[in-house]
This record gives sequence, C-alpha cells and structure tokens, in this order.
Amino acid sequence: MIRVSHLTKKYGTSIAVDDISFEVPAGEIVGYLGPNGAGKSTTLKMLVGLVEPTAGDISVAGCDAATDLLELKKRVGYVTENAQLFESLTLAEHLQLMGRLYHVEESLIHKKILEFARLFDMAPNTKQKISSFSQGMRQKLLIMSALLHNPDVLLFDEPFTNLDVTTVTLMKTMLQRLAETGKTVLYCTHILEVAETLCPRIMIINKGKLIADASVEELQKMTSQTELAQIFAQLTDTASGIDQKTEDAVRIVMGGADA
Amino acid sequence: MLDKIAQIYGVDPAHFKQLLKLDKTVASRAKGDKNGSAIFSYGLVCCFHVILGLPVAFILLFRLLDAPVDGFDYAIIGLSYTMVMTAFLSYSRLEFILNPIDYLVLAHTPVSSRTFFLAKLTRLLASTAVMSSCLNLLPAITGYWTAERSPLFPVVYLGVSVIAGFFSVGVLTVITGYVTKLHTYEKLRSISKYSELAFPVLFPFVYLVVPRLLPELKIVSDKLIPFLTAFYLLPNSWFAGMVAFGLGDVHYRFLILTAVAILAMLLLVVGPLRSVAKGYSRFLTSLLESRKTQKPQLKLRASLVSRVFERRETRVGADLVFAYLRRDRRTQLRVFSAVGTPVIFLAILFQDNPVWDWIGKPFTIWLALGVSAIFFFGCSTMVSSFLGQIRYSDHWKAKWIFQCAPLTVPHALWRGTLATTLIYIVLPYTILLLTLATIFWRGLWGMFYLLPGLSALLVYAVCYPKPNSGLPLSEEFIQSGWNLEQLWLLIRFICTQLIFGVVLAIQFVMYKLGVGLYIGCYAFIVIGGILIFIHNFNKKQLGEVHV
Repeated sequence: MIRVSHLTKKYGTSIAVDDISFEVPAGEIVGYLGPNGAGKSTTLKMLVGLVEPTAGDISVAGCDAATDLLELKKRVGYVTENAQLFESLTLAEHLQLMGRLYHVEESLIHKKILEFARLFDMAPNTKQKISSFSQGMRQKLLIMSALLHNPDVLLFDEPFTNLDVTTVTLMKTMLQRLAETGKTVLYCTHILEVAETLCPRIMIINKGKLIADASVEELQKMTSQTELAQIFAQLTDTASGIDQKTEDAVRIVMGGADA
Repeated sequence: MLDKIAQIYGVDPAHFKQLLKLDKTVASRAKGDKNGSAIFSYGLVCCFHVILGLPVAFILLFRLLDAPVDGFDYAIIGLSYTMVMTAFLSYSRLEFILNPIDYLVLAHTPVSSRTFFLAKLTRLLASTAVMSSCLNLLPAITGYWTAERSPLFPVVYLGVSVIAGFFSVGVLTVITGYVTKLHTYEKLRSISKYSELAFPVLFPFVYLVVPRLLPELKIVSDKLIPFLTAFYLLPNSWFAGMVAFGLGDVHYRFLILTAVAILAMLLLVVGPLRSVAKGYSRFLTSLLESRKTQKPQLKLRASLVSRVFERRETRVGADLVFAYLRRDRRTQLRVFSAVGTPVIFLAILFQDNPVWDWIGKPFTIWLALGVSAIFFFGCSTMVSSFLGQIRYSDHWKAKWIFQCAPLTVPHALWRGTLATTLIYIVLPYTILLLTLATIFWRGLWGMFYLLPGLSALLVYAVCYPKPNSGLPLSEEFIQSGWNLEQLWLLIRFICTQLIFGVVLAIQFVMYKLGVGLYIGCYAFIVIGGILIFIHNFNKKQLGEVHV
C-alpha cells in the first residue's frame, strides 16, 4: 500500500506538489490524473526515491522513504514514459541488469526474460540492441523491467503510450489480475478512457494540489457529468474558452501560411 | 561576408548562420551547466592546451641552448608536434561531423546536408584555431631565440601553426570520412570501425616516428644527396618552409615548400574534402537507418570479469562496461583512441639508442628503475584514459535505472568498472611486457624489474577517483571542451608520476646504501602496494544515498 502525508516539492520558488495526502490500500488500482505540469510525475518520482521531497512523509509497502529507502525501492516497480535506456545493451542484457539490481535469482532472471519476451511478442528481439527498438518496443521493455522482480507496488507513469491495442488490452487485464492478488497500482495517465475502465478510484491533481479523490460514480454525482473527460475538464477548468482557442489556432496557422 | 562565402559553396546562408548559432548556444550552455560558467570553461580549455605546449617548448629551448638552430629546423620539430597533437585532440571532435547527434533532431527540416557539413566543419576549424594557437603559444615565444633572432618569429610561427593545424584536421576528416563511408555497407562496417580505432594510433607514426628515422637515413643519404628530398615529402616540412619564407628567407627551397603547402591546402579543399561533403547526405541518411540483426536464440553470456564477483552490483558494473566496450562505437572511440597515446610515447622512446643499450646489459639499478618507470608510466596513462572516459556515455540519462534500483553498495558498480579495467587494460599490458622482459633478460629478472611498477599501478588504479555520480557511463560527454574535473584528473596524474619518481629515487638511494636495504625496500614497495590494493578493492562502503 501507499501512504502519502502532506507531501510537498518545491523547485526554488515554484511549487510542483503542494501538500498532498492520500492512501492507496493493497489490491487497489488508482488513476492519478491531471493536466500537463500538474505534478503527477513529480509525485511518482518522489514515491520511487528519484526526487527528494521538500516536506511530507511517504510510506510504500510499509517502508518509510526517509528511513528505509532501499527496502522501499525493492518493493516498487516503476514505469515511466519515454525513459532513457542504455541503448547499446540488448533486451536480454537490460533485463538481466535490472534483475541483478533488484536481487532476483539468476536462474529466475533467465526464465522470466524468456517468458516475458514471449508474452510481449518480443522473443525474436531478445538479442537485439535497444537502439534499434521502436518506441512501443521500448515501452514494453520498461514494463517487463518493472515487473521482473515481482514488486508489491506498481507506479505507472503513462505506461501505455505508444503501445499497440493488443498489448494495451493485455496490460489492462493483467493489471486487474495483479491487483486481485494484492498488488497496489498507482496509474498516472492522460488517456481518460483507460483510466475510466481500469481504475475504480480516481485522484485528480491540478497545479500541485489534489483536487479530487473519489470513485468514478462519486465524481459523476459531484459534478453532474457522465463522462470522465467532462468531469476532468470541469474540475481542472481546462474546458473554458476552448472554442475561442480553436478559432485562434486556425487563425494563427493560416496567418503563418500567408506570411 | 559570411553570406558571400556561404553562397559560393552553395549553402543556405540563413540556415548556415542558424546552425552556427545553435551549435554555439548548445556548447556554451553545456559548458555552463557543467562548470557554472562557459567563459571559465573556455579558459580551462585554453590553459590545458597551453600546458600541452609546454613539453615541446622545453625540448626546443634545450635544443637552442645546446646549439644554434635556425627557424626552419625549429619549425619542423615544433610543427611536427603541433600537427600530431592537433590531429589527436581533434579526433574526438570529429564526431561533430561524422556522428552529429543533433542531425536526428534536424533531419526532417529543410536544411541541406552541405549546409550542415559546412556548419560543422566551421565549428571544427574554429576550435582547431583556438587549440593550435594555445598549443603553440609557448613554442612561438621560445622561437625568438633561434639563429635568426627575428622578432617576427612568434607571429609567423603562430600563424603558420594554425594553418598546419587546419591541414591536419582536413586530412583527418578526409581519411576518416572515406573510412566512414563504408558504414553504408553492412559487411564492411566492423572493418571500418576498427580502422577508425587504429587510425589515431597510426597517424602519429607518420608525423612523429618517420621524421625520427630520418637522421638514420641521413647517414646513408650523404652519398645520395637527392634522397634527402624525401624529407620534404612530409607536410610538416612544407609548413616549416612557410615559416622560413615568412621570416624573409627567400631561398628557392623555402619558396617551393611554401608553394607546396598552399597547393596542398587548396587541393585538400577542392578535392577530397569536397568529395566527402558531396557524399555527406548519403552518410547522414545511413545514420537514420535502424540496424537490426536478428539472432533468435537467447543465450545470456556473462563477461569473464563479472563471473569472478559475487556482489551483483559489481557484476552489473562489469557487464555494462563490457557491453559498451564491445558495441558502442562512441565509447570505443573515446576510450581506445586515448589508450593509443602511451603506445606512441613508448614507440618513440624505443627509437632512442640508449634504451637499446640498457636492454642489452645484465642487471643494473638503472635498468631495474627504468623498466619499472616505463611500465608504470605506460600503463597508468592507459588506465587514466580508460577510467577518465568510461564515466561518459551518450546514454547517461539512463542512470535513472541505478537511482531507482535498491543498490546496497552504489559504489560497487564502479568497482565493476575498475575490475574491467584490470582485466582489459592492466592484464594484457602486463602479460605483453612480462613476455618481452622474459625474452630480453631470461628467467625471473623480467618479473623482478616489472613488479614495483605493477604494484604501484594497482594502487593507482584502485585509488583512481570515482566520478561524482559514482556510476559508470552516467555522465554527459561535452564534445567541445574540458571541465574542472578533467583538469583535476590531469593534475592528479602528473602528481602521481612525480610521486612514483620519488619512490624510484628512494630505491636508488637504498641501493647505493647497500643491496640488503634495496631488497628490503623493494619487498616493502611490492608487498605494500599489493596489500593496499586488496584492502581498497574490498573496502565496504555501506549506506544508501540519493545517487
């Protein structure tokens, strides 16, 4: 489970995450939504120990980030969008590296690499360098890396970007099954359709502040809207003036062409 | 004026200016990010090159004190050094042209490949001009004391050395460009890769070793005077002739040499360089091709080094570095082209007859100390080059993987790198020199000579400073300059050589005081060094940190 209390991150004078608190119990999938620059990725980075919080407490899978960061990292699987990789390694070498870093048994690493590669239709690519992979293949590799050590908590930051429909379907059902086995999933995304079907509970962050934390049904009642996209637009105030902005965009494009 | 030049070469002046501006901004921001100030970083680069010019300035000054030397002879020695060093130092910068990382960003824009090439070449020549000027500043000043005592000498010499630097870089670009063209052919790709690695080692041979052979040739050629003209076939003498001509010596010899230098420059620009530029678009296209090699069977192979270690972090470090050394062309270029430097110095050293005289003799204290010194200098240079470069990678942003991972001992990753260095640098070098030493001196004498150097080397390697991150391949390589950390590593390297010099001096004093004392001192150095190495290599550094 994840427990966050009064979490704050400041970069100089700007506040990326502003005093947020929430809890995600074991076996739950929670959608973490917000517009660009809202503070979603920063929150996840703090949860995984990549960024040090300015204030607040983090506890993941019973491990305190301030005192037991190492144990916390062992329990977390993290997937981020367009992550940089050591591109001269092959798929198998990368997974071997990850397995070793997360203390997976050597024989299990080999077994899991073969099985994951088959599962994600990448068996022919195991000896191929990452530099030749498409974005979708890289994303699959990142997902495999995050799952390799059987973590208790999964932190997914836009995990389905660039993935094909089959893989997205597989991932959705797999995450639901993993949640049933007691794994906690914090799912950060812009794709509201996926969040709507996958996550029974939604948290919305805007300008660093947590502005909503409820089930989809509760959010529908709260906003009198039926679709998550409308709920999101209303809560984050991103829908206002969209018609005018569209007109402006067309005018700018056409003016640019004249010039 | 820039517009006119650009138009002559058929490039788009607006694009050309934009690309130059972009390069400048990116370079200065990268330098600024590393050191806090771009101007400070440029200052460091200049200081470093001025320091590099110091040895040749000393050599030339000693030669002038020994006997009067005329401007032409002085310029030959100085320019030979300059051209070699310029070629060496420019080699990593050829990546501007031959491996432009920003091309992938600009590939879809309507910038012509010729414009792109000219912008990159301009930047390379600009940095060459600065580098050559700094490198030759001290030799130019000491050149005032040549036979002519011309106050014009520093100015003329400095000007010609910049032109000679351009020539070196031009030749280097052309040859490497032709070799790189082979990249479009799959089967020849690996050959071209190794040619590129071998090139920085071969290049100095042409300029440095061949002129050193010429005095030997001269004895023979006294009877065959025309044969001496072979000397003038080398570009360093063309530019030396230009210096003499610039100083006002209008002897026909210098006139011809100056004309040859100018002609060579022109031919280089309108011939091979233009040809490389014309084929540049095809080359750039090949950069965008994905190179897929399918090997369906999965067989994970751990490197030799990694199997030795139980700690997983060490194995990860060793395997990662090993994979990059095996596959990543940029890593290979940076690491191995730097490793080639001591090979050249050793080759030059063995050109001198006194060294061969030493080798022919049975045990003398000078031989024992000399072999230790050569071993230590050669291998410590390689170790420095290797460890100094392996911290950089184009994929340095992937270090987030280590930051996320539960590393119990983060520095164990660097220990894996160190182990790779010992296996791939120290071990082969030791075996090679031990074999040679055994052949020269029979039995165990060779080993006796080498052991103090090896022991000191192990201490040097294990105490080599870790990068700030403590991780291999996790720092950004700034193509266009030096940072404070690199300068610190250079100073540290020089100090280490001095310290080892003191160790040798102590051995010498002990030998003079008595053989027993010498043997005791010898044993202390060898055993002490090995113990320090073992202690430091196994030292535990526990505790989790935000790496």
